[in-house]
Amino acid sequence: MLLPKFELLQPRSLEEATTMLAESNGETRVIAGGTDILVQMKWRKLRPSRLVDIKALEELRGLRWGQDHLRIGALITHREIETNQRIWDRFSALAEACRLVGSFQIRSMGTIGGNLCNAAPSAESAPPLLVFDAQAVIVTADGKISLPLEDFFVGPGKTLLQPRQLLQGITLPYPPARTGSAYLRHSPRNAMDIATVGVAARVTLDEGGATCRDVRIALGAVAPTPKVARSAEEALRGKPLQQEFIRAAARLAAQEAEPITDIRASAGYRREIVEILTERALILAGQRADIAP
Amino acid sequence: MAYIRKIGFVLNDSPFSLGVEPNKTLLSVLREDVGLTSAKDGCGHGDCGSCTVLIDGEPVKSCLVQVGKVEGKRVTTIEGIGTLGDPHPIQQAFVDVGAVQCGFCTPAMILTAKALLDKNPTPTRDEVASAISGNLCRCTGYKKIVDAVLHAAVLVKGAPRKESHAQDSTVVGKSVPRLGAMEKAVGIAKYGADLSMPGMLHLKVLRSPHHHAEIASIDTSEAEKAPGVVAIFTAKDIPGQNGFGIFDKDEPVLADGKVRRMGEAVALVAADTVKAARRAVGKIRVEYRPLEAVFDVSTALREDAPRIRPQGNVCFTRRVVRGDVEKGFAQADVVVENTYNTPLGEHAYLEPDAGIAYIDEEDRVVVHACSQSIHFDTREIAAILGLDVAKVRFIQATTGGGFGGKIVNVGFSGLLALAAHKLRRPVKLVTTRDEVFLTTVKRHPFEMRYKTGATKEGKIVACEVRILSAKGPYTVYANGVMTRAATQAVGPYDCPNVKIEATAVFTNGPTCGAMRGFGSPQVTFAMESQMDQIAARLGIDPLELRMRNAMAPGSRVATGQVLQAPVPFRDTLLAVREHYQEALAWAQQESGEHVRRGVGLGSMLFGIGKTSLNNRSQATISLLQNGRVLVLCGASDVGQGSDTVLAQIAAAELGVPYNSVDINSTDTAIAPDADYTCASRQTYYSGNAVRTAARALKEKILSASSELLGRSSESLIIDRGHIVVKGSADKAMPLGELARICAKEGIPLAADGSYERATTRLDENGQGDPYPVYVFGTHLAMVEVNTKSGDVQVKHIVCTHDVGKAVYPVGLEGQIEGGVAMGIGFALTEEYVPDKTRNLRDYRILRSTEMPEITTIFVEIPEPQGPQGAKGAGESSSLPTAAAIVNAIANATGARVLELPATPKRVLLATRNNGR
Repeated sequence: MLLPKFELLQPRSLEEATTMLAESNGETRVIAGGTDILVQMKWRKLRPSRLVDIKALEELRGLRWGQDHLRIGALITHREIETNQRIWDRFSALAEACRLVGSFQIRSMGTIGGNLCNAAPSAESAPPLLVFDAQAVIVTADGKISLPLEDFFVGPGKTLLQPRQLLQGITLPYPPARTGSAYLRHSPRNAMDIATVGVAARVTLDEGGATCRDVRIALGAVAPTPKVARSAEEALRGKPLQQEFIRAAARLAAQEAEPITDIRASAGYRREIVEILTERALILAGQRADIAP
Repeated sequence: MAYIRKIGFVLNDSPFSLGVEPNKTLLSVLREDVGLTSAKDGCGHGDCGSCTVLIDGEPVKSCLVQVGKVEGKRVTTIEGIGTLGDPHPIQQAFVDVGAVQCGFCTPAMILTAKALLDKNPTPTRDEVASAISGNLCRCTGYKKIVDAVLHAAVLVKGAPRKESHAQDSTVVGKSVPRLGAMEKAVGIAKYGADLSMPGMLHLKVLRSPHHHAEIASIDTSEAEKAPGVVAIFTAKDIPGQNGFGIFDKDEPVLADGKVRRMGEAVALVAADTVKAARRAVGKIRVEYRPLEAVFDVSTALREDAPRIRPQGNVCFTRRVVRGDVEKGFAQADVVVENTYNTPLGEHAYLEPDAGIAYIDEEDRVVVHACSQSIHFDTREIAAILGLDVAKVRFIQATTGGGFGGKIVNVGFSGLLALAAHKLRRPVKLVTTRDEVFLTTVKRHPFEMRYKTGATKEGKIVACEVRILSAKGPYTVYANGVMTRAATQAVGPYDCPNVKIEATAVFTNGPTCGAMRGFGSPQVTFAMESQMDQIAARLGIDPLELRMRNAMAPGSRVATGQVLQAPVPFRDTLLAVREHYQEALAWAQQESGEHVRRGVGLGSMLFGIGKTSLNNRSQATISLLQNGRVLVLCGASDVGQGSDTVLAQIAAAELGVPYNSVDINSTDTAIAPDADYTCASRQTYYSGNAVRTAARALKEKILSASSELLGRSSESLIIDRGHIVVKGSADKAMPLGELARICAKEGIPLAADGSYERATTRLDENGQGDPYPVYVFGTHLAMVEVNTKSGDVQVKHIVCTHDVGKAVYPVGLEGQIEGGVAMGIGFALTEEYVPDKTRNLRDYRILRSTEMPEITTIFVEIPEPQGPQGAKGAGESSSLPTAAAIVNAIANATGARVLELPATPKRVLLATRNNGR
């Protein structure tokens, strides 16, 4: 299977990269791991005339454990996240989601930045990042800006990124004590498949461990963009983490979903799965919060 | 213009640099520019994992790596980790454990395993399964692969190898190293796409975008002028008959005036490069006049339906009538009536059809490509080219799976032959995964109305079955599929009154042909579902109901054929009984919220050999002067292991070491016709041909040695490659020495063997003896059903198979495990939807992490006519799995799924309609 013809640019610095993007006339795309864009090019769904390979950009690499937040460079692969014990400890849902992406081979190449910039409604890494209140750091010609990840997604395959901008990485504030999180997904098969529904939940318990001090719920594959289930969160916040409240929240999450029917599942079925997975993710996150320091 | 850039990387530990077009993938650079063909192109879209290589020790799908990315990195292919003479322990483990079948996925699996073991030297089963979940395998069911990786983990630490038995001659029933397995494991086996010749042209096919249309005109003038184009062929260029098929030569090689399905070949381009050929395809102007297309049976059978074929839209009907069903239903205390549906299925063999063709030094048109029917293909190709069959030669390349899809695949090999014949130049055709999905034959979708009656004692007294299948526009195997479905529609049960009618109907959907089981997986699903519903209605245990109706010696199958002993069906039921009781107890245990456990059974019978047709196999065996034995037998090994089985039979019959036997089964110029690899027939028919030849050769060897040694031939035996005087420990003469003396004396040491068993044609009521011998089997499924999501998890499959004799036990086990995997796919995930299912992402064959535990039990009661007592087992394992799973779902939830696949949504609907 051949790729359509394109020109390959390999910038050595962030500045060079943004200049290349700024000079672009015609279809220019950024390529990182390439696991998604090359498939789309082979399908002739995309025919960029130029590819800017950002893999060499030092500024987009690395994990940085700061004072109050973690910075994840856009070029970090899913494999690097799923094999990182500190991420498992503090951001379980994110590691859990990255472990479900594609396969061993895809996770070795595919980057978190690529996963987010493709903006698939089903992107595995998006719901967990949303529940951790992630900020997207964007490099523009005039400097860096940072904005909530939720605002980064605009529609299926669409982000806020302008043609001459790059996603540099993600910052995640450290969650408070007694926080647990989980990501669950449903897909036609349990490896190498796209989620029909993905649900991430984060629960922060109060001192006594009975009440849900804070909760975040985010849904994947059931709306044009990864979506925060606000009314479900509202319903559970401040309530005891008990079955009746969890169930009520799960029902609200299902109502908030705006699924479509496609070859993978019908809208009605997806809504039902949202309810089931939300309930399970909340219980699991609650259990993890209970044993968290 | 393409521009070239120099790129440097470390390839298999040596620095390497070359100039490449940077828009190439690493896979195509490795295969085309570097010339390493061990990384395979199975899909091109990152779904199958066959292209896996290591970059800096991590596995990647090289079809999704743009080559510029490897600048300065370490790239490792399978060639870099071991060789034939010095294999890596993982390669050794794959061979020793029997994890290699067709081998197409093997190098990639091994590299992925290496990446895992390098980081995690003591993985668990689950960790191995999870690591290889991005690598598809269609043959093995992954169990042996996981076993091999775990075995490799201990081999790496210096543990001793498993016993190989390669030097034994009494190898029947022993797990010897599979022939060709190490060549596949080290990446030197050549599949069609790996072949090339100097000066070779590349072919691409223009295919119909319409389901049904008249071709008003084809204008190739612009395409002919395109750079690199050498020739363009259409139907008018076919010198002989533009049609092929087993029953009816009705499928055109290139469409003539009309296209009757999407993807039908319309024109063939030969050009200097693949790119030039593909561009030229886009420049051919075809004017189509679309016609009304028909996809479903009921529309196709309407009086006013568009005629897809001049003779009307009924392709073939098989009736099987015995006894009097009305009388039978009158005796019945319960009657169960249901309509079942099964989908179109895709073989999803991992190797997309590929090969080359050229003219050889004897002016023959040679096709060197994948196939499971080399001699048949030469006859079809000869007719297409208008040549004598002696002027066509087929050499089977290492073939990456077939499952029925590479029989009569003349729509592919015919194009290769046509171009080579017309141009008298080497040509190459490699189909893409998308083309395979679009163009190759599919499993017939069945609509089955079943009405089954039983007395309150649980005796099945009547069965009426109506089967309809939308089979696409060409006959292919319809007669065989419909006949086998009809003759096996009531399963392994002695039912005195049957009325069965199976009709294949022409439509404009995908052409349906042979796929593992020829219509029997479909009817097995339906009949076994009926059995469980009768059991439930009568309050009889499902195993007990099967016991009460089980065929035994003297029973008649639906065609009236009387079964001769042994009929080991009851033995398969008895063999699962203990597991069944344990499973029932397991199902009673607590299983989590919304999760219900269930246990189900499925049983089957399957006739060995092509239904009511000639099945003759031939073999020639010679003793060579180096003491080795050469078996020639054109039985295509497509990964199922027939080469190994035939070599074992030859070694055992002759008394020579297994590793002194060579076989050629691939070249029609050398190996005699052993008919197609289909209908589970090779072990039985070709095994018998080899046995006959081996016995004749043995007689010649003993008579020659008796003269030389001055002893009676009765006093001599062949023992481990030597002539030995009975009762003495002395080796009188090595066979090589005998062969050298006989060569001087002009005494030939070669013998032929052939084998055929009489079957009879079925009369108008479908009565007769269609198969020489039947095999039986029973599967037990243990499942967990999530009643909220409808998800079904298969936890364990126990399968018992009547095999006569397991000649090559580890191979047979692997084949059965692969059959189970395919059966689970048929039950739960696999569905081909025309226009929607385009590749392995949409068509969900099982991945390693979805496999349940599998326990395989052989029931070995020797078949008197079988070689070494063996029967055949290629297809039987994929028959009863789906039924067992669907029955287990019903056992868990009360919900009866009547349409496959049992997707979560269907399970949920069934649970709501009739569940508990």
